[in-house]
Amino acid sequence: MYSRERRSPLYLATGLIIGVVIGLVFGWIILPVEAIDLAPDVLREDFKIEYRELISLAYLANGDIGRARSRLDLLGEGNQARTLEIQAQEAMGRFAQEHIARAIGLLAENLKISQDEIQTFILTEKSPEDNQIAQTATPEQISEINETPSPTATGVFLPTSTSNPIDSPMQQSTNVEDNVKKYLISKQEVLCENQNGVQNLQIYVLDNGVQIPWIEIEIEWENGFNRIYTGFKPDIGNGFADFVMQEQVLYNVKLGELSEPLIGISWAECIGSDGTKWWGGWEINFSND
Amino acid sequence: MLKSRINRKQFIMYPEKDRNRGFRYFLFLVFICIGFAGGWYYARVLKPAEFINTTPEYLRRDYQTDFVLMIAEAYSGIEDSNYALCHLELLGMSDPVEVMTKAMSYGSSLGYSAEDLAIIGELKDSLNEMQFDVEGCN
Repeated sequence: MYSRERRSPLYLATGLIIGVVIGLVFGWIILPVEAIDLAPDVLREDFKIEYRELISLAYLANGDIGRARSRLDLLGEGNQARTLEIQAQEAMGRFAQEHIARAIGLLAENLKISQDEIQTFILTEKSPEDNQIAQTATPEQISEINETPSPTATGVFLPTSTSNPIDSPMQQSTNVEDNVKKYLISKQEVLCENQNGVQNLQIYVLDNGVQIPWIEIEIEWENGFNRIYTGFKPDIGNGFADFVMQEQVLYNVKLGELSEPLIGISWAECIGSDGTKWWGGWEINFSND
Repeated sequence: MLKSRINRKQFIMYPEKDRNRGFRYFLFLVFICIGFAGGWYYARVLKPAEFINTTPEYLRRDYQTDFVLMIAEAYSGIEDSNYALCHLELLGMSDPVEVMTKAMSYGSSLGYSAEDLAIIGELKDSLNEMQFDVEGCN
């Protein structure tokens, strides 16, 4: 007599596994959850660059550092100032983006300044009765300041406003006649170190002895004009900018509306102790003190 | 060989074996469906795919509204309508003026200040007067 075969239920487990795999493939790949209601921290990197650009230009217009900071927080990145500095340098290299680079650089610089003010505020608030001078923050305090809050998952985002908004950086730069800081040439020195080098014009801009970035420098020559900015070579100095001069060309240099022009600068003649001659560059310092 | 012949005979002589096989296939399919439901639930509810590298058109509405406000603030400074248009396009809507109108409406419901709404309104008025001809948004 034929007896009914007994089949192991293992084939059911196989079916279950196959079903799970197909379900996962459908749920994750073929028909995934629809992407809606996302936060800026999941934006593609090129869109994050555009986002930072907009934040910087908005800051340039309204001067509201608190609003700029709250918007940057949405990107969920640490060390916002450094990220902005790198982006400003990259923008500087692109055609017709100098004004954007400057806006980004200004925001980076003011973020750093406002961060220092927060550190000082925290330290002095913690020990007012001791009347201690603010010292460098401890690592715990620094990490507390630098902690980047994650974007609001459920709450609505509202752009904040500073209670006492200052003039926007753009307004400050155009109110030159109201609050002019006239910069004068405090140093003009021939650079002869490199006998085979490029004839460079090296410019430093100082405010009360401190080098300041993002200052516009206009360089004009016959049939030519260029604008450069300090701050793009921080390894040399925040207030440093340089320009390569051409042979037998006379240049006029000025800090936009902030200084009188330095007229007729060109390659400088250098003479060695043995009488050798070569062409050199110039170092020029603009200062307001 | 003989054994297989005998098995074929048994196959012919005992049709209920077919019914058992059919039932097994059915059970197999049922378990695939159960597995599919479980996998689907896990992938869509418990551990949905994480989104990275998205575009601004998928931002939540309040973030999109702030995006529009940023564009308007930037425009108030640089007055480059082409720049503003290029960035409004990133929100994935065809009509920039409609984008501004929706932003003002939603911003108002969220409690945006009159100043912020006015800035958006100024950009909207400027775009209204223009021909939309976006040149090379890069």
